Amino acid sequence: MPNPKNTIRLVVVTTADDVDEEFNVNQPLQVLFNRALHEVGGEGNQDQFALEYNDVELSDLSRKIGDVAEELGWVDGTQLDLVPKPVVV
Amino acid sequence: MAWREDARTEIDGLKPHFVSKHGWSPRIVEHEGTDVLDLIVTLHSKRLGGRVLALRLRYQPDWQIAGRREAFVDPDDRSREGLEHWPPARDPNVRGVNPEHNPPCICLRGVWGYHSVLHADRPMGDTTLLGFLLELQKVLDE
Repeated sequence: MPNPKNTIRLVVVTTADDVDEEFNVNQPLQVLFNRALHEVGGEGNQDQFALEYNDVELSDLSRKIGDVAEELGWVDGTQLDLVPKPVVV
Repeated sequence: MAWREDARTEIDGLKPHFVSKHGWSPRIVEHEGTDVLDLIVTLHSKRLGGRVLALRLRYQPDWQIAGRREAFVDPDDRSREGLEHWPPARDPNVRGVNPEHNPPCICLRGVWGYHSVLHADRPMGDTTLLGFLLELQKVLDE
């Protein structure tokens, strides 16, 4: 059944403050990623962080939030993680 | 002592979401009469077939510059340390964990091995305990 709303409330747990907001389902995941990055001050180091759901990285950030939500069964309040990627040099 | 309070503050500040998700069970061990505070963290490694590891991060007065001193210890008797408690060096190894290095160390930001041994030119800066543990958990699972 199609979601009559055009927003979904998502929570992103980060290493700083968490994000808990409504997002337009027509926006790309990049918007959610950027919002979470802002909380950790990582805007300039996108490649050092990953947006994850159930421990799986959401790597295609161009996909619409609504499409991913439908595919993965997200509902209002679904929780994701923003985690740092290991930097081994 | 400020260094000890700072250590306790960052340990107490670990986010319950991540602690619970990964089963870290952080535990502080203090040694009377010494400038040492140990944090013991339980780690479960998918990469190593579910092996349980116990990481000891030793805080000393210089930890904010030198890094948190890392060692893996016996999960059943955390007073015992030794290479046998580290992830293996190969087949499968764990990226960034170097048990064969002298001294054994971890090449991830936030610990002594990174900031004082392998990359002494790279300061601790704003590295955090939580960030380090998440990075270590990631390499233990990948």
